[in-house]
Amino acid sequence: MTAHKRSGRETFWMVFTGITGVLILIGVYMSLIWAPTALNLPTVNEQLAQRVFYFHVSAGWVGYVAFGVTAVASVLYLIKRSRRFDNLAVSSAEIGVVFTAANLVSGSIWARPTWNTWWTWDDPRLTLAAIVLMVYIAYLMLRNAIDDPERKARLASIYGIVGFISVPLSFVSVRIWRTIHPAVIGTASASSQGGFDMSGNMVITLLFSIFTFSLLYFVLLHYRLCLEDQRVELEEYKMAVMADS
Amino acid sequence: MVYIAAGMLVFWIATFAFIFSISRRQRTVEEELSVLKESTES
Amino acid sequence: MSYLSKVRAIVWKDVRAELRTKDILSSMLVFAGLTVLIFQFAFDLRASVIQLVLPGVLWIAITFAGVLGLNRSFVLEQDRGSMEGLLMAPMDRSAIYFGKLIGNLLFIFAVELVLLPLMTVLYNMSLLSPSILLVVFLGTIGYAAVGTLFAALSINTRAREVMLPILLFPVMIPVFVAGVQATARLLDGESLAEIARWVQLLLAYDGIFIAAAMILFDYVVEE
Repeated sequence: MTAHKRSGRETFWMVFTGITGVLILIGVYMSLIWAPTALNLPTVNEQLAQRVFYFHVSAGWVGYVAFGVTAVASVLYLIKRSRRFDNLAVSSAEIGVVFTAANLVSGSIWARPTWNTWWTWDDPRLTLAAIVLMVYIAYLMLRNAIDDPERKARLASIYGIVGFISVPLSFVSVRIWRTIHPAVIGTASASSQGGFDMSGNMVITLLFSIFTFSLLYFVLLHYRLCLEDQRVELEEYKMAVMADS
Repeated sequence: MVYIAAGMLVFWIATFAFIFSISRRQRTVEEELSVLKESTES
Repeated sequence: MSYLSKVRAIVWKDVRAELRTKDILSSMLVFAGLTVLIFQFAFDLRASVIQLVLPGVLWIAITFAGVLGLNRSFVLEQDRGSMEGLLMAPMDRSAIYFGKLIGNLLFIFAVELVLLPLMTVLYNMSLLSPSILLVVFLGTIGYAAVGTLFAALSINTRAREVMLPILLFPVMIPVFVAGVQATARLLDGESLAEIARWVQLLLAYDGIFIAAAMILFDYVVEE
């Protein structure tokens, strides 16, 4: 197996994963206990639920960045035609789906005690996350529907680029849509942080959370890329076998 | 109270489900590779 | 042959082929009409509710009928194997894109030409004001710009035409939201100036994606 040939790299990743795990646990502690309570929220339920916000925003942010990575990797693939870029694109896309989906579900869980509803179309950010998720999923479905690796990489790259460009436009459209008409839920404007005041320690918690989620992204990306490398190895072996026979 | 627990659980589940999915796919590829290698060696 | 005449040749080829059988055009029209009908039953549209729902119904009808037409633009080429012929001709690949785009636009406009008066009559609300026509015009261009590119993409997949709506709908959301909102507010009696932001969004979308598709189309058809 390729992984065992370079134990230096393997060790590095094991350590990196371990450190990330520890930092995540610290982040959990900070979010749940260390961060100050949002005292201006009316009920205890809401104050507790607000703590999901740290994970929710971090996941959303990393999800968008992952999509950006996919888009950039797609451009690079079309220019350089190196399989490595396509591997990066699909790996980042899968991880992006996981983070964005978690963002949506946690957003829903936060919404329930805060606004007494599992979902609302009035928050532009939630709507946008749903749109981003759909584009990601379409990207992965497109890849699934093509067998030839070169064609798969090429066509998926095109969709990755166009899909990524459409996201800011979708964001603008949803924003205009939801700021012109009065929001049913008054506190949830696009710029406010969900209706609570952010004190200094909250900001620190949030930034730390985003940081640890980013590390998690790199960890997951590494292992996902390993899988892709193995698939390439399998493909090349198959081709070599067919060439011999 | 339930909500904060559920909210956190989502992330753990998502992460581990993904890792699980990667390792399952990795096993499939490894199997296929070893089957291929055996059949060409024989 | 100059660039423009190549584009024109492609448009003409598709339009002539369609005029002979009128297959796709009639399917698009019927589908659009059926969509309107189904929404009538889905929401039991009484006079008080119509104004709220009408813009949505209109744009859904355009979207669904559009998918039929967009698919056609490349399916026939692939089935007849004429794609290679087109590609072998010494021309800038983007000419093929523009030819297909204009062809698609003509077909969707033809459907809208029937759909807008029809809905005006059915719902007793005028969809024929210049402002609404402008919004529909700009929105259709954006929709077709992306749709033509993705249609070329999807026929290369195992699922072929089925892939197109999956790829297209998430990406054309800005057009859809802008179209519905602008149409709704124009029906409400607002002026074109008041919906300027939506028009700007549509223009931006059209410009950005025609440019992007022009560049990317090459990569779709390079075989």
